[in-house]
Amino acid sequence: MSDAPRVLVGVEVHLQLKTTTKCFSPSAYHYGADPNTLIDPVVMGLPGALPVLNREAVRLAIRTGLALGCEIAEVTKWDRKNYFYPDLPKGYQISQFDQPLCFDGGIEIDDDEGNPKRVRIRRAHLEEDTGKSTHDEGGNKSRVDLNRAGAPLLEIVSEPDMTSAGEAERYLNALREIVSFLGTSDGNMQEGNLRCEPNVNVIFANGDKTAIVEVKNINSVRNMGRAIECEVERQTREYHEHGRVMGNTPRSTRGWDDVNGTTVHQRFKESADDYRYFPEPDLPPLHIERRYVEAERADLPELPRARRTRYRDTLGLSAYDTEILTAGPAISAWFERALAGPTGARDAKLVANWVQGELMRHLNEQKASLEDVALQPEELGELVDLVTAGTINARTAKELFRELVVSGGSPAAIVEARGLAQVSDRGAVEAAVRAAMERHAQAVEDFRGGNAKARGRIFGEAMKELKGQGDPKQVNEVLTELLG
Amino acid sequence: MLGAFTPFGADHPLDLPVAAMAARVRDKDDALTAVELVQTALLRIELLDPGLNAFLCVTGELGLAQAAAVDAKVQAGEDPGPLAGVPLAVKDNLAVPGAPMTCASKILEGYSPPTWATSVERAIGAGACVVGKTNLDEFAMGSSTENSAFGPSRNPYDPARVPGGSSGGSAAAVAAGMAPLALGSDTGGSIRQPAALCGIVGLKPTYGRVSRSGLVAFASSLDQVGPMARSAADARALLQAIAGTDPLDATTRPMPALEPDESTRLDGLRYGTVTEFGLDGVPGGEQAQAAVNGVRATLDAAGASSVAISLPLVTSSIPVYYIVAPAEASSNLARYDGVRYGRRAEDVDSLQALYARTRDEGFGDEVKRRILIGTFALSSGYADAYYKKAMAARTRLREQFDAAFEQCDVLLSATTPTAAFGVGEKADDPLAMYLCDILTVAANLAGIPAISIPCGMTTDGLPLGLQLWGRPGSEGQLLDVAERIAEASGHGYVAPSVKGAE
Amino acid sequence: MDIDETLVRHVAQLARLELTDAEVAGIAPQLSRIFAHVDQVQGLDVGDADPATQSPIAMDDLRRDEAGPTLDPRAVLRNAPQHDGAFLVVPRFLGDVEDGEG
Repeated sequence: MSDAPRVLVGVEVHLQLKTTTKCFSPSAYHYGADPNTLIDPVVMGLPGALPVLNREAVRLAIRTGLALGCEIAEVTKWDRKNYFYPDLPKGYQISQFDQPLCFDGGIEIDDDEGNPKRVRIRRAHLEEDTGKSTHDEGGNKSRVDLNRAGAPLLEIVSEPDMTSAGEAERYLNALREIVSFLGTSDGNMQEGNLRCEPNVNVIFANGDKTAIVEVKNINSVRNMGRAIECEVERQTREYHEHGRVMGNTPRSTRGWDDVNGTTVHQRFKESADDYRYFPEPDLPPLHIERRYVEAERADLPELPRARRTRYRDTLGLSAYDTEILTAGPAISAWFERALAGPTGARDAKLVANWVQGELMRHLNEQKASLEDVALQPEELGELVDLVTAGTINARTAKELFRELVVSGGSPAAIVEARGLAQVSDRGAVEAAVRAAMERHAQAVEDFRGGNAKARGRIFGEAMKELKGQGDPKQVNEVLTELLG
Repeated sequence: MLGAFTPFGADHPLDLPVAAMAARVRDKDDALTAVELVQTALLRIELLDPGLNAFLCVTGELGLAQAAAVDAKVQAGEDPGPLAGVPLAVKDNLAVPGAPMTCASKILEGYSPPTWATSVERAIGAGACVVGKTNLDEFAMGSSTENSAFGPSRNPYDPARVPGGSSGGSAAAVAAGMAPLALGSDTGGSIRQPAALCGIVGLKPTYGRVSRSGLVAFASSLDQVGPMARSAADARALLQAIAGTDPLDATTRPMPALEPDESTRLDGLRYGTVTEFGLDGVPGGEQAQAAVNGVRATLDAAGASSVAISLPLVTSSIPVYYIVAPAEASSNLARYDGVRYGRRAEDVDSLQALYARTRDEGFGDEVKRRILIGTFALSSGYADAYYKKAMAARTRLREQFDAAFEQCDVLLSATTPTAAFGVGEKADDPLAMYLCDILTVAANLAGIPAISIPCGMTTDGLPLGLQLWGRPGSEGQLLDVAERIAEASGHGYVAPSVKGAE
Repeated sequence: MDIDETLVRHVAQLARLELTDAEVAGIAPQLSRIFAHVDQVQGLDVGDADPATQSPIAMDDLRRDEAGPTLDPRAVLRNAPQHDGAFLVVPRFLGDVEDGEG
């Protein structure tokens, strides 16, 4: 056992699920609407309005839970969490207390040494979001917008398995990446559809532990890391200077101060919060058939971490190519489609070269996204096949790519229609080389006189004679032969 | 009856059975129109209600417009529905857009709902015409309609007495002939108890039979909307109109049909008498017990057989109910916070003060009492001893009812231990008031249907009610049995001699 | 269960009810009397009965994710005690008033 203090970090994530309507009512939700326009009687908490659970919210929650390695409850229920807050319209939040939808999961991340490490996920439950309040600076009013109220949230609670800010950042990034590959959430922290609250404490070699601190108001992955570093330092200092430990110091909540890069005390959790949970009587319990869960599981895409391992270890791609081709769900799916040939997978390195090379260059130059590209991944695959088969040469392929990327179309059909296929008939190549040598007798003479450069002119002329469709290797061979 | 007034009379169409009334409206050749029925009801309300305070709001314009629409349909040869032109009184905890909804509370001051309660909407769809919103105990919490911020309602049989509650306004409106049909809500007896005290029929459906959408929640796992009427047949007509699953209420479930079964006979009926519901030794319970015994004699003479049933947990139903209902209520009433709608306390400079003062000013004493009871029963350190224990007891109680219905077709008891008590008599004793529900709350806890029907009068001329309890989904059968009992016993609605504006 | 004035005040705070001293003094004995009756539930032998009051429903019974009608924002605000034409307005607050105990 090392004498260095151990840091324990757990992370609570609130993930907004990508549904059309709210969790318990049919009003739409999207970010950035005018205040109080995405409202219905349930969202407003009008007298007599009743919640009705959105099937898609449950499906996305199950999907996410499965991807996080969780068990899915056979029977789950919702509970009321009672507290008063202006952005909580009913005076209670519909949440899940003792029978969460997903539980006992975990995901793999890299630890600080780069070794794989599993972070356990205690539970992930489906609940409704609150509205948003803004506060007058120096004024005496607060303003409430209920648009966000009722949006479906998956609250994902990890065990305190992370031992550094870096691990916590990698955990959060892994989570974001998973949900973006699943398509269950936008995972955008700026728009608040992913929010995180780390809880931090430190254990010293002698067994002393600092009180757990939960940090709120964090708006980026990096700031979560900074907040954790800041807490470790602060708690260690408080321990050494004032002997503050769990037992003489209550658990507390602190807020991240982005401007000063520090955490600020908000409140102590002296007594357990009295939320008076009880089962939501307006919603019957939900039975989730096992075959439903298995169907969702079978439909899960390959997750980014597994895909990376496969690209590196099975496909033999470089670390660089792997990174680029798994950077997001769209590019990765594009690559996968280009890779899948009609008779089995294509050569991954060849396809990877095209995607990370020509395609990415085009996107960067045009500041375009994949959706703007007319070329379909299957069409790129066909192009690769034409090159591999020797039907067209690399130059023709690149020219064709530049055309296809804006117009799309079948490369094989175009090659056929325009007669772009490579000339590989020995006789035709010989004729072309002889013609070039005749036309450039001077160059032939120069070459034979020792001017090596002159050879290039004859080669170029021979290629021109072949309308660019000669196989350069073959042309070279013939030229060498004939020049003697 | 006050035969001298035009809206009254021996054979006035407004006093017909609902089916006959609607049939006349639907008959193109009959001069009787929906508008005429609604006008009559409005006139009766104008004359009688000042003495009864059954209505918090009269919706004449709305009711007449609905009636005109019914008449137009008749003229056009379209079907206006089985309740065509029948005036309907609606308890003021059900949403009717265009009319204020107060729940008899100051806290909903100025509130008007934007959408219809499903039950009301369905009744209107069947041709009913809403003539007004009726008085209740604030947020349906009470058994006398005295806990109304707008004054108590009065019993049409004796205005010095309460009509029962919390659907006291609806009960008084039907009993006094101001509306042939009314909607009430029943959380612990709030339809059946006032129906009994006002000598009419009131039915609490199986939980999940009728949508609660648009019913202001008191205790969500107990609340049901139900019909109040002058006869079981009328109650059935209204229940048929409002029942059915609703995409806006996830707790509604498909249930057996409600059509009358002409083959139902008292001969061979097995009725259970619950030992724990006996009124021997209950102060003032002799007359109610005698009335029940009278009906039993009729049943036995008709060939029914009685089975003695014991439901031990019924003796705990009041404590269980007074934990579960306030617990849910404390949460349901949290939304009245002065932020989005309704009343807000003036001159508050902090959020804390806004909440606390708004709720202090807006809620009446009984509502506050129940919020405190419920908050306490759910609070940290006490929830296991109270709320969880009560919920477990509730499950066991339901099991005891299931077992009872293995042995008999229906259970039979009084609806209330006594007839209507005087206004103010129990106002200072909340516990005594709570004990009024002793014969009704178990049906809500178990989620089963129960109906109260008239079964005679006390020596003072006050109505008494008989209660029939059935297994889940058996409302059709309960109504059949209720009709047979009325035929065999001769008991039924007897119009009170209410004094109008004189 | 004896409900004293301290407990009444604690519960009233949880329930956001501002009670006067007189109200607290009046309600405490009433609640004590009610709980003397209600306390009999604690002696009931009901075992570990499932507290669920409803049988479970299935995934197919849930609402489809299709947008329905929303409320007219002007109508929403018209019912509000205070608003600025877009937002609901309350006295300024910061921090976690949900835990107003502290």
